[in-house]
Order: sequence, then C-alpha cells, then structure tokens
Amino acid sequence: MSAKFRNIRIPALIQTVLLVMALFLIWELATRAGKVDTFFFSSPNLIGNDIVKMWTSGDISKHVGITFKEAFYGLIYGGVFGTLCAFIFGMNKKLHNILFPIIVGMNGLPKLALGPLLIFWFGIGIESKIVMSAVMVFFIFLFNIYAGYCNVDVTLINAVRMMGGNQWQIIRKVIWPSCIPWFLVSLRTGLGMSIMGAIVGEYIGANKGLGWMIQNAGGTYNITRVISCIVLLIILMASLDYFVKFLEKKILRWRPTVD
Amino acid sequence: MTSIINLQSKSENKIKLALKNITVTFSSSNGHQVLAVNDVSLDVYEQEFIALIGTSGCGKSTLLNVMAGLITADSGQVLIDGVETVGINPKIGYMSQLDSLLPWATVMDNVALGLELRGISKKERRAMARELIVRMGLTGFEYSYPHELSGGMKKRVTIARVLAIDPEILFMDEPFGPLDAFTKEILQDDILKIWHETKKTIVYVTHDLSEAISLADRVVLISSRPGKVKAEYNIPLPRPRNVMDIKFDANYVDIEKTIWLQLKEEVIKGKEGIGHVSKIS
Repeated sequence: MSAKFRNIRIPALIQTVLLVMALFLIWELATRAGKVDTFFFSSPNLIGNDIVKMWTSGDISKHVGITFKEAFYGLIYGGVFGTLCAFIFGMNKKLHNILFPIIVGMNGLPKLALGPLLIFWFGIGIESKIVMSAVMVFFIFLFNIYAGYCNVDVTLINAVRMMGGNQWQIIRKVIWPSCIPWFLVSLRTGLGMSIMGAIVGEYIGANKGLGWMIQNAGGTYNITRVISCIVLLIILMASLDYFVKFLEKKILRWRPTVD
Repeated sequence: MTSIINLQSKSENKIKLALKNITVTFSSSNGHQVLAVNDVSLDVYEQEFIALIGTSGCGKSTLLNVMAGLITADSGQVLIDGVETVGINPKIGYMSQLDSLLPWATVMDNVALGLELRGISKKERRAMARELIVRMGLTGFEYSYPHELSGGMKKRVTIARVLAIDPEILFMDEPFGPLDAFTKEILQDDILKIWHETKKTIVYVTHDLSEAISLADRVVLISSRPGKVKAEYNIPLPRPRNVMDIKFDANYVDIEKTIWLQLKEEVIKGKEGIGHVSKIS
C-alpha cells in the first residue's frame, strides 16, 4: 500500500458508521446462510423493514416522541432541581450535614422500587414517567455539581472578594463558571439516565412510548420489534450525546485540551 | 550602622496604613493553638514602597491578609488613613503569589473584572481595560484565555487587573515567586515604573532579600514564628532604580550584609523547627 493512501484521514463518525454497517452485514449474511435463527435474533433486513413500517404508520414519531418528551422534562426538572440543591448545600454546610446522609441513603435505593408509588401518585400517563426520570437525573446533578462546588479554587474567590465582589457576584463570576464542566458531565450522564427513567417508567405501566412498545412486543415474541426499538433508542442516545459534546466544545473553549 | 543613611525617608508623609498590636492565632489540625503573629505594630507611609521579609511560615503573608481584611486578627487594629477598617477595604488592591486569573475569562474580561464588579458599564470598562492591556504590553492577546499565556504574561494581566480598580494601596504577596530570574527582574522593573507613575503605596511581601532591597524604600524584617517585627531598615539606594543594575551600587552589598546577618538568625531558628539532616554514620 502506498504511503499516500495510508495518510488519508477518515472522520471518526464515518468510521463508527462503517463499523456498524460491517457488523450488520455479517449478521445479515449469517441469517441468509441459515446460521442464525431469525425467530430469536431477527435480522437487519427485517429490522430495517420494521422501522420503515413504523415510520410510515407514524408509530415512530408518536412513541419516540412520547419517550423523548418524558425524558426531556425529566432531564430539565431533575437537572434544575439537582443543580439548585447542590448550590444550596454548597452555601449552607449545616443543612448539608443534616440532609446529605438521607439523600445518599435514598440514592442507594433502586429507583425501580419507586415505580408502583409513582404510578399510584401520578397516574399511568406521562407525569409518572417524568417524575421517575427526574428522580434518576436529580442525584447525578446533585452529586456532581456539589463536588464541583467543593472544588472551587479559593484563590479565585479571594481575588474577587478583594476587588469588592459580594456573595452573589462570587457565585456568578467564580463558583458557577467553575461548576460548568461538572454541569456538562452531569448533562451527558443525565441524558442517558433520563431516557432510562422514562423507559423504566413505561415498563411499569403505560399505554404508549418506546418502553411500552418493547414490553408489548416482547410479550408477543415479536423480537424484530424489540430490536427495532433498541436500535431507535441507540440512535436517539448517540445523536443527543453528539449534541452535548458539541455544546461542551463550544462552552469549554477556555480549558486547555488534552489532544 | 553608619553605611545605612536615611537619604529619602518618607516619614514626612502622612501615615497611610497602620497596624496596632496585631496578634493572630490559628488552631492547627491537631487542635493546638499556634501563635502566628505576635503583637505587631507597623506604620506604612503614603507613597512608600515597603517590603516585609522573613523566612517561609513566619507569618508575613498572614500579616498581609490581616491588613487586607481577609483574616480577622485576634486582637489589634488596622487603620487606613487614620480610620479603623474592618473587612475588605476598596482602597486596597491585592496581588497574591498564586495564579488568580479567572481561567474561563479572556484577558480583556479578566482585566475588566474589578470594574465589572463595581458596576461600570461594559463600554467604559472595556475602554479602560484596553488602555491597561496596551500599557502592560499585552496588545494582541485581548481575547486569549489565561492557559494560552506564559507565566510572565499572566502576571502582567494580574497587574493590569489590579491597576484597573486604581487602588491607593497595593499589596503584593510574593507576586513573582514561581517565575524564572529574568522574567522576574523585568516584572520588578515594571512594578517600579508603575509605582513612580502612579505614586501608590506598595506593601511587598517576599522571602528574597535582594528583591526586597532592590525595590523598597524600607525593609521590615519579620522574625520566625511567631511573627514579630525584628528590625526595620531604610534603603538609601538612589531612585529611580533599575533592578538589573542596582546590585552593583556601591552601598548595595553593605545593606545586604547588614540585613542578612539578622535574617540569617531567623533562617537558622526556622530551620530548627523543620528539623535537620542528621549525619549518616
């Protein structure tokens, strides 16, 4: 192979897509050769057709839309509330000392256990899923941003104080900006959590959404449908993560990069 | 000592900053009370360049932090222009040895920070910041972030930032500590120029004797813990000074020797506290 050819750079995204396509091709060929039973493992061809079918029937926009909406509100509520609590605990150590053990204990609880309660309190509709999603996201934001708050450089706080900055200015000019990397980490982790929360909520009791579709299809041994939904979820997650990464690059221009 | 003559005493000037019987104790991590500063009184005159010198851990930074209002003394008073001051005073600008630039703000925003905190409009503070950026030789770096600058340039930005709020008194706590010798001398020269132009009162903390002598009108020697004023020396070297050449002044070595003899005692005393290398037998 000539040196010229080896120097061609293929963008990472294209490489990822190529890898996935190669895996799908192997899978498809294995089914065609009769090595893989489509009843148990379906096939890329069947899944593709199923996704097209769901697209044309409007099922995708309806059910993905619902799950996305639940996760989105869950992320917003959980994120805002978690960030606020982290700042309140950062500013008030006494409150932190009293309440943190309770919160840590609650975080240890499998959120799935809350399912029946949430359905009972908030109904079978979208609200119970938003709450489930928000609860899962909340802890991520709270713990991460609280850690960020405790990591603030005291030198910077003193510098702003010496220039006459008041408490509010210190928060706005020093504490919040230095928490932003932690906020973005929470956002990336929280994104996955919010979708997980929504799906788990739908599993427990719902009549629409991706989680419900998976549950429903699984019950009727429609493996193709289950895998279609999983593929959709993966695409949804990957594109959202891509978006947050883009955001991160824009916002964290002030940080020296590793590469 | 006859060789040290009080050539240009500022004592006719009025007292800008006064410490009256300042005592500071800390509780260490194992619960002991440690006396950091013991009954220090000191007058700093208007437009004076004063250097506090002492071994590391002698309490000179603590003293500066008390003057700045960042630490409250256990007893004693701090007076600025004859008025007792509690907490942070807007007449003071503070430059610490640690890097205190906001890493997420550009050079421009860092220089303008103090003005922003004081509620000055964006247009006005940018104009003022731009002027200082030019003066500190940072043209072209207005929109760079601190991590893109060299150590010396970061210090220049910090100086510009503290000048932006136009303080009457400037506190500098080993401001050029981690820099290489050449960059350090260039920045020291800049500080002398700024001091000549602006006539600010400067309190400069250092553990570097030649730095103290080259810059200051008066050097105050702080004893090893607990910190106390051990001696004061007027530095009769001519002004304006050039940091790079002043060491070759005829009086320089005499002055350095006089102060060093006293400082050496403190260094040795301080060393006993740290422990020493024992002979391997």
